[in-house]
Amino acid sequence: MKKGNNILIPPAYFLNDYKEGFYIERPERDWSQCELWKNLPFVLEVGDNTIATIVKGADKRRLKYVYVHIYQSTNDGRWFLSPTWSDKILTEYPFQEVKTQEEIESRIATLKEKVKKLNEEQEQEIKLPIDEFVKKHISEIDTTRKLALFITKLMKAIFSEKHFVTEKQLLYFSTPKAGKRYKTFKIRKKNGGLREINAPVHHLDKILYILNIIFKSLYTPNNAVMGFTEGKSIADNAARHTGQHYVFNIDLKDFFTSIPQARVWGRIQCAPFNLPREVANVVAGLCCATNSESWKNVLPQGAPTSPLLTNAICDRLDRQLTALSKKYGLHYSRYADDITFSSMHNVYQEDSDFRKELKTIIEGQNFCINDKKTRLLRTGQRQEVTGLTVNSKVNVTRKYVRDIRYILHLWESKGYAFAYSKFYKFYKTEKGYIKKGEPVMENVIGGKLNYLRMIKGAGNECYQKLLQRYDKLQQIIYVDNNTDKGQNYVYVQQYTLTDCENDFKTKITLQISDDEKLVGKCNLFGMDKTISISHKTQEELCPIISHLKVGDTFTSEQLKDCFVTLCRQKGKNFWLITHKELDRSRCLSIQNAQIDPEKLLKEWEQKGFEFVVKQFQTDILKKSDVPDYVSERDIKEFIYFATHSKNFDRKQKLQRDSLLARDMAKRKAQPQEFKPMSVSYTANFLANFNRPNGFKYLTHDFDTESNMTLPDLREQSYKLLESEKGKIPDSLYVLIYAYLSGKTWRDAFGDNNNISINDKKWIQWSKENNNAHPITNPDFEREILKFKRAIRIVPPLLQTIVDKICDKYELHVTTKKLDRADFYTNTYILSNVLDRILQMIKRRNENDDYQRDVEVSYQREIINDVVYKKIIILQKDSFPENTFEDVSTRMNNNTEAGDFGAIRKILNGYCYWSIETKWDDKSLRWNILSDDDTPETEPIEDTSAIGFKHILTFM
Amino acid sequence: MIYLIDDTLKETIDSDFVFDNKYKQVLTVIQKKAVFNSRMNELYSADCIMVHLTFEDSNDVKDKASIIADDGDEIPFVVFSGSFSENPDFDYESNNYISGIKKSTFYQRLYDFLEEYINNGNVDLRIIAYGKDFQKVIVRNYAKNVLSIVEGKQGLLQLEDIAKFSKDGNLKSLVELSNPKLGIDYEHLLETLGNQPICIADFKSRIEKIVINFEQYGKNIYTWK
Repeated sequence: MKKGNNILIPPAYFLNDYKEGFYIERPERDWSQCELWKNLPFVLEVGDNTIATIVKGADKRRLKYVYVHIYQSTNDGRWFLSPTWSDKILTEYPFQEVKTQEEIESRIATLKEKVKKLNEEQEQEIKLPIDEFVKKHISEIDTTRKLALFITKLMKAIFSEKHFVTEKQLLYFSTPKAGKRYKTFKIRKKNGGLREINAPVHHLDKILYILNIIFKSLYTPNNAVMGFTEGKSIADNAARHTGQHYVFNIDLKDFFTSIPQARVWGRIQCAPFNLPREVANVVAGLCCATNSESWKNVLPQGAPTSPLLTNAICDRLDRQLTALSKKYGLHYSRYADDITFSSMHNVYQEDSDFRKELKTIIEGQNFCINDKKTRLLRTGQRQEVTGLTVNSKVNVTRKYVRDIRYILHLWESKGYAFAYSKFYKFYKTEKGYIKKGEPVMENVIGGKLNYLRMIKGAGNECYQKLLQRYDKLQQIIYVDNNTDKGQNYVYVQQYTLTDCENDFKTKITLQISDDEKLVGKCNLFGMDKTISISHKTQEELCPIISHLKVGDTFTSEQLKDCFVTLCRQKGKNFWLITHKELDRSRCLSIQNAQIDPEKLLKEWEQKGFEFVVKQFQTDILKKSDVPDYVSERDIKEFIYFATHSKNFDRKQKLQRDSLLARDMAKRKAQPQEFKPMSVSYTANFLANFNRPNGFKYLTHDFDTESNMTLPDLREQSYKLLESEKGKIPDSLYVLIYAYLSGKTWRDAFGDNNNISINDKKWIQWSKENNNAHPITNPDFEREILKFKRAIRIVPPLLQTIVDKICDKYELHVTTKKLDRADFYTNTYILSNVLDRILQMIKRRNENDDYQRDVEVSYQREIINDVVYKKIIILQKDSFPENTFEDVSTRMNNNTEAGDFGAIRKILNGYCYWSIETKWDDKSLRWNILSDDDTPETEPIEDTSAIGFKHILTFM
Repeated sequence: MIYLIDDTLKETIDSDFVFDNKYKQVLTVIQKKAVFNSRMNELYSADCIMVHLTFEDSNDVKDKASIIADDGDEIPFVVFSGSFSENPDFDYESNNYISGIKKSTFYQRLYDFLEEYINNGNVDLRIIAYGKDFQKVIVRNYAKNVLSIVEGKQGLLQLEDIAKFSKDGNLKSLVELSNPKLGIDYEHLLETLGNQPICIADFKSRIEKIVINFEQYGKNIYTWK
């Protein structure tokens, strides 16, 4: 057994290619300082939680050695560590078998080599473009098993995560009789008919997505094909027919469903797919579904592979129609089932040769013309191809632009609420046949503008003008689809009941729903709507709800005082009736900020993350109405969050991950130099909790002369807190910030709390009660007192903290006057430090196998008119074995500072910290955290050094 | 002498009585930090110190006063502020220290406290902590603790056993408070009734009766006999 470097390695023990196991011995000081971490050839994610788990687990089991696995995540390639408590492994590799230092080094060298090789292999695959990869390897796919492996490999590369596809799964999904392959449902067509959709189930959908990528890599469509082709759109389809005297449109009847599985099977065995029969059997089965009318297996509408396969199957049709168009001197294009010919001369008469030949070709390919949709458009008429006008140039209809302009005008002049009511009518009239939910107006307008850009071009003046107006209306602080990810819903727009009824020209009545709840019923532009009512409002409106039956109607005088609010959850809108007034929810909006991923990543890479944050602040936020309290911290979080939004493609995501990893590695490689913070500054900052212009009213009733409201208080507190950022300990900033913003903070016992001065309940209550402080409400008072105990040691909190820690470590401690301690600090931090100190004491007692007396006391002292509060922890008869020089050198070398280093870091800025004991036979006071005037060490009288004493001094 | 150290007296409703001539002999009111600093030495001979937590928006005065009072170990000590709750943590058996009480509640009870001090010379912080009818609260607390011993139990029990479980002397205190009608002291009661089995349900109802007596009449009129 070799000691010294704190690592002990068993004989080679590879769990698999990605894992490595080590024994680590309990270091004397700090687990994070373990040698093992430093010797590894990669950045190891040893978080505080992992270390805490190891320490806790090792303590619980009284282990001196812990077996750890180091493993690489298959998701993102990062390396992690986890302890293993299995007795089997511990007995399997007894410590006697542990090798020498040379062998340890050789094992690490092997690991380095292995990691390098693995990384190279992975890189190779990722670097190769997908289409080249497919083209290179498709010929090797001759069995279903190989197809399954191939799809799995591509999934890993494309989704950056592991999805296993097995041969069994492919065979199952390719069998038409197997259940749960496709979900069948019908949607309404514009003409009133029904369209059957067959959507693959989630896993099949992913498989088909990959198959489609394979097909796309292999197949290039005919020039005349405009639909489902990369780089071509309806605009390209229309452009081919501009300025022609005659535009002739035909439509193929039941396009998708007229393609049977056998035709797909045959096509994918031909060039360029060339799939062997066994594979084609499976692939055709996967791509087809049973049609509920014909009971035949056909190409389904709704599968990702169907569009490309229709193009492939129509190859011959396209060739023949191209030849036909050449023969007659016409322009030809096809967009899915929509076939268009155009020319300056007319060959389209009903009994013309052209029409006859056309019919023969189409029927020869087993398709059928939909006569109802055949039309010939002449100059002077509105010539329309795939929904666009082509008379002189490709354009959208005038009405399209007019509609956008009208809604933007209403939004500008009458506000969101009124504009939404008008937009709602438009939307439901146009799209109501298919879109059942409540539309998100800004998304719909955004979509319409994108369409306009596609057709008219980004530089078009009309588009630019509309876009500028739209951007101005979009507010960066409002929630959007990308930021609205939470479980709770957000409020978008509120209407009083009267406004709602007037704007939407409706009447809201109350009724008992099928699930016996009170709901609002109304008719919005021809559609019956059921509107939910909040629980509390249900009780207020209808106290006798339990006596009513399903379907009963009810009238309440109070309904007219209610509000109807448009809410949003995960990008979907819905209505809610409440008695309370609800403000629009706000947070930075990724969508509205319009971050350009390319630019962001480029600048992040070249100039660093901090630069990006600064630029974001100046370039984007300054332009918008962003409240002062949006801090730099918010923006940092926001940018990290933004980089996880949908705006980023796979390549950009990989780049982002590597930048994140680089930043993290940089931070790890450079141990931060310890910079002492001023305790008196923090004490003065904390005194703000006594000052009316500070944080006093965060935990105190408003004084009689104060005209403050909760929003005022929040703003005042934010401003003050932000002005002190960086000058006070970060943990203190975070605690107060969390209380102001509603984020999670921890109390003295480490329990999480979300109590916040920004709580909507409090604000609402205060508003209703003449701006009274929530502390005057007994329910809220209890919550406020919780925060008070997080920011202040209130009698007898210190006693309770110490008692709890002593119970945890089964430590017998004498306490003096702890129940009287009363001062401001971050009580979680203090509790954490006391825990560490008492844990060290416990370890020392255990190592030497006898219990030394421990005493924790609270004292006060007035020096120069300042009251100093001291917590003194004394372990009697305990003296250090190391020399003072050893200990202080380790402390000054940040990487080896151990428990003491950690405590110094945590306490920095909160209090002074000294240790009194005997070092090298001399009684010394070591001032680890002190002000500038105090020397690092001071001799003290021998009588005081009766053991090892920690002194924490607060101001 | 009682020292009331509060910079916000004028703002506090119903606190005018502290300036009554009646209390001049027994109450010194300090409203400025400078005055406090100059008269700090006087405080060492005080009978009670009562201080506003955020005196002139700082905890200095409170901290210094608490050192002088040694947090109630030397001189009874009360801290009040708008940020405290109405029900303070107060251990009336072991110390003379109220570490925090709501300011408005404090002034509501101060009058009775001063009356008791003038009339009987008693510094009774129970009046500040619970009000003039503090015995009701105390009896309720004792009863609650005593009843918690027999909670969930059924059948018969000896009073002696209950006395043993009642480690903190809650039963003793309860008996002593209801003493006038019992006519015997606690030890005597144990001697007399100690070995006799008591039905638990009966015991509970007796305790509850004592509590009701205190609530209704301010004293116990019920006898165990």
